[in-house]
Amino acid sequence: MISNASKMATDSPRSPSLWVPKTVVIRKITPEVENVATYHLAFTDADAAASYRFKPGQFNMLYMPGVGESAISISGDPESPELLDHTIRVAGNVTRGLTQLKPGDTLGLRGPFGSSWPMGQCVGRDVLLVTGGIGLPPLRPAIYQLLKRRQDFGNLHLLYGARSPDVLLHQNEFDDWKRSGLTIQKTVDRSVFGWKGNVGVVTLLLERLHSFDPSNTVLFCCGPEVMMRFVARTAFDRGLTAEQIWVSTERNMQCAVGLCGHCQLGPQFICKDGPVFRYDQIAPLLTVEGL
Amino acid sequence: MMAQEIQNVLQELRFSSGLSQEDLQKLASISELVEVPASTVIFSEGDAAADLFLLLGGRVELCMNVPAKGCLPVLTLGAGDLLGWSPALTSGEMTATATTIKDTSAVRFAADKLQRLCEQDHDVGYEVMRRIAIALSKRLVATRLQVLDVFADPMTEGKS
Ligand SMILES: Cc1cc2nc3c(=O)[nH]c(=O)nc-3n(C[C@H](O)[C@H](O)[C@H](O)COP(=O)(O)OP(=O)(O)OC[C@H]3O[C@@H](n4cnc5c(N)ncnc54)[C@H](O)[C@@H]3O)c2cc1C
Repeated sequence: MISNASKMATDSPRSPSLWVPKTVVIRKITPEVENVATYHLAFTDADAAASYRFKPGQFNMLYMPGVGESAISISGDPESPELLDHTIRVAGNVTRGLTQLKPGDTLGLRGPFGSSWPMGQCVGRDVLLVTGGIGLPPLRPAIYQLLKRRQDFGNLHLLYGARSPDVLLHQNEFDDWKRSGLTIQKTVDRSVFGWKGNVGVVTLLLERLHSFDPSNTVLFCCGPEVMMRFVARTAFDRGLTAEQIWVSTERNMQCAVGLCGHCQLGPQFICKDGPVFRYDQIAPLLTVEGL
Repeated sequence: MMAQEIQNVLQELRFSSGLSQEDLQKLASISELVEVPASTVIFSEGDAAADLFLLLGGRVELCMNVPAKGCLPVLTLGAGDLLGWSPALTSGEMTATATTIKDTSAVRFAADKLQRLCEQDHDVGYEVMRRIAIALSKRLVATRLQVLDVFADPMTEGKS
C-alpha cells in the first residue's frame, strides 16, 4: 500500500476503541457561508485530548445521538489538536441536526481515520493545491503545515473554485496565507454583477498557471469527483504524471474501519485505504458508472 | 524589429508554440503588439467581428448583456488565452463584451488578414484552425463543467 497511509495502524478494525465515540464539547461555532459552519470541538476527557493526534487529510466520524453519524474531515491545524475544527455543509440528517446545536452542547467523535496528504512528498518541490467548494477545508490542515515550514518547499499555489462569490470559504485567512508565502487564485462558476475576480472553472486557472516546474511538482486536489478528473487531465496537459497527483475522495460512509463496505470503491475502501489516494491508484475507478 | 519581437513572443505562447519559424514569421507579419489599460472595452456585444487577440498578460472579462440588469461576467481570460476567436471563423457579430480588468498586453491579428493568410497558405491555415479548435474544445469542456454545477448546495439543488 502507498506511503501516505497513516491509519490507526495499532488498532485492529475490531478494537473497541475504534467503535466507541468519545465525547467532545462544542466550544465555538463559526458561521462561514450559507449552510456551512466550522465547529470547534474539544474532548471532555483529558486523556483523550492528550493522546489525540491527526494528520492533514484525515477525518472523524461525528455522532449525534438519536440522529446518526457522519464522516467529516478535520479542517484545523494538526499542531493545535486541542481544538478540532470541522467545517461542515448541511447535506442531510446529521449535518442538519448539527445546526440545532450551540456552544456547550456535546457530540460523539470517533477517529481520526484514513490516509493523509503526503506532506513528505512536498519537500523541495512546488506544490499545487487545487480545490473547489467544500473541498478547501480538508486541505486547510495541509496549508497550515506547508506555511509553518515554508522554507522547505518551492512555490506554493492555491487554486480555488466556488459556485459563486458569496460561498468562497475561509476568505478571512487568505491575507495571512498570502503573507506567509502562498499564492492564491480564486474563481467562480457563476459571477454576480460587480464581481471583478475570475469567472470560469478552476481547471482554467491551472491551464494558465506559470511559476511551477512540472517535473518537480506535487498536486493535491479535493472537490467534487468530476472536477478532480478534469483537474487531473489539465495537470497531464501541463506535464504532470499521475504519480504526482493526489486526490481526496468521498463515499457514503458508515463503519469507517473497512468492515461494512458502504464506502467501497472497487477494491478500495475509502475509509481505510483513502480518502487520500495517489491518482494512478484511483483514476480507473472514478470513471466507472455507478461505482 | 517589431515582427521579430512578435515572432519571439508567439514562440513562447501556448497557442502558437511548436509552429515552424516560417509559420511564426507569417503570423508575425500580420499582427501587432498592443497594450490595453485596465477598464478598456476591447469590443462590445453586437460589434462587427474585427480582431483576434492572444493575451500575453493581464486579465480580460467577457460579459453578456442581461436585459434590465446589465452585463453579467461569464468568463475571464488571462495570459495565453485566445480572445475574440469568432472573427477568425466568420464575419458576424461579437457575442460578448470584452473589458480589461487589469492592464493587459496582447498580440492582435486583424481578422481579415488572418483569414486571407489561412486561405492562401493552407499549411499555416490548418495549424491556425487546429489550434483554434483545441482552444475552443477546452473552453467547451470548461463550459460543460460550469453547466454541471458541481458545487451546487445539496440542500438548495433544484430549487433555484
Ligand atoms: C472522508 C470524508 C470526509 C468528508 N468531509 C466532509 C467535510 O469536511 N465537510 C462536510 O460538510 N462533509 C464532508 N463529508 C461528506 C459528509 O460525510 C456527507 O455529506 C454526509 O452524508 C453528511 O451526513 P448527513 O447525515 O448530514 O447526510 P445524509 O443523511 O447522509 O445525506 C447526505 C446525502 O447523501 C445521500 N445519501 C445518504 N445515504 C446514502 C447512501 N447510502 N447512498 C447514496 N447516497 C446516500 C443523501 O441522499 C443526501 O443527498 C465527508 C465525507 C467523507 C467520506
